[in-house]
Amino acid sequence: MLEDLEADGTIDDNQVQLVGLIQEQHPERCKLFMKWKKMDFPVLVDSLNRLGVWAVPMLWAIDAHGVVRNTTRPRKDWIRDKFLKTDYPESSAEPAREQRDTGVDAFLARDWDNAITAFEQQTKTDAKDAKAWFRLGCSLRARHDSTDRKPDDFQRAIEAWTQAVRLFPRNYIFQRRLQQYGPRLGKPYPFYDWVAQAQADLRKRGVPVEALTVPLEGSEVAAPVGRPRGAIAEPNDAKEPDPEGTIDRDKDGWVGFASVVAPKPPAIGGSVRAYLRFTPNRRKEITWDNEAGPLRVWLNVPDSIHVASSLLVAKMPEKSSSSSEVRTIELELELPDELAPGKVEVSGYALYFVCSGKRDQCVHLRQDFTIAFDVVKGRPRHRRR
Amino acid sequence: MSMQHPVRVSSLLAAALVLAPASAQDAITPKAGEPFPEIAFPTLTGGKPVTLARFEGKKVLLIQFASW
Repeated sequence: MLEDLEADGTIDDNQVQLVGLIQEQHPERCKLFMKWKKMDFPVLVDSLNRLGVWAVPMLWAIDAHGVVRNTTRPRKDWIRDKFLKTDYPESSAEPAREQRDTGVDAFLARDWDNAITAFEQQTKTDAKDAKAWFRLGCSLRARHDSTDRKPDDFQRAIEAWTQAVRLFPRNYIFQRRLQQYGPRLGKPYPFYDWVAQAQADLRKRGVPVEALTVPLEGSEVAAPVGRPRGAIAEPNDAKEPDPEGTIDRDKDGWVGFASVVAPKPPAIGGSVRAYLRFTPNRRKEITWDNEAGPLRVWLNVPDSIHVASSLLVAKMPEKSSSSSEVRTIELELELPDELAPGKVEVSGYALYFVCSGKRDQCVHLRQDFTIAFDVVKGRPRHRRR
Repeated sequence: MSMQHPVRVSSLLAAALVLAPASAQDAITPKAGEPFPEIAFPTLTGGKPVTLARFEGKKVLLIQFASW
């Protein structure tokens, strides 16, 4: 509609000011999008949904005195023939003002610790405050993306958003925030699969492209199930790589492990996405030995739960004999209708080649882990077909 | 000024846009006939937070969208 309005001359700089408003968790991606699409109108950021809207997109026609004039999504002919041609009278009404919120203030100041504390308090004061849960999730994820990250920030963010969606399931802003990191069965579209193309196109145009400060998770670009792009793991008959447990265990903590599941808790009959993160120990100067082989994960999944493949392999950087980046493996588990509510545990182990210090010692190690989460009854947001 | 509509706006417009019943909306949510709420939002370019009063004197089409 906006394209039509511009093409037929309805909108031009003299008649109306176009202003954007986004609720994305990572506004820098929208900045890239604007550059790519050559959009140059001002954009405001509302990551906490302070405007209290339920859905996206929305369009408000606001007259020259600041009064909203449309009751529903305006039609093009209404904008052209009514809104732009009417000389609206001044209004004596005062605009609604946002209530002071210490959590919002802290978030805007990028004080993640205090934002989290404030929103946690709000959820304790009113456990059914979906908005507080949503904002708590946003703050936890923001701290996860910062240098002040705490190990369970991402998982807690998922739990907070899951709670927000449970309390207010019709809020599409809440839903999309959770779906962004969730399993493919619950995704309406791939979200950020356009980023690579945008960066390539900008480089071709000779436009400088900065790397995203928060890299994309695999879930944010994975296609929804039903479309063949972006398989998480190809089904295969891979054999268990270390069935006898002969590979030395990582007793000295050369590589840290953390898991996150989304949503949490998942509903029986749905699916859940798990993130397995492996972090080389910096204090011990641990690096991946890329020449020796990749990081592999083997899963011992209970028979009742489906996973595309029990053997997963993490990507390695190209042309690099050693590196020290965090490696993440993402997978999805499908939960059958017959599953009983309660705890689910998926055990497994990771095998990796790492070196310590200045390559005076390189070893092949194994780390066992368990992914544990509760499953609950309820309408699954991510249902198997 | 050059504009192209966001990639997925049309598909989102076709998706279930659920309008909140008035009783369920926040007091701050914009309503027809009322002044737009006075909320200072950060800008995408990182400048000082602004309210829509910045554009007073001109009609505004405020489009809430997402890059996904």
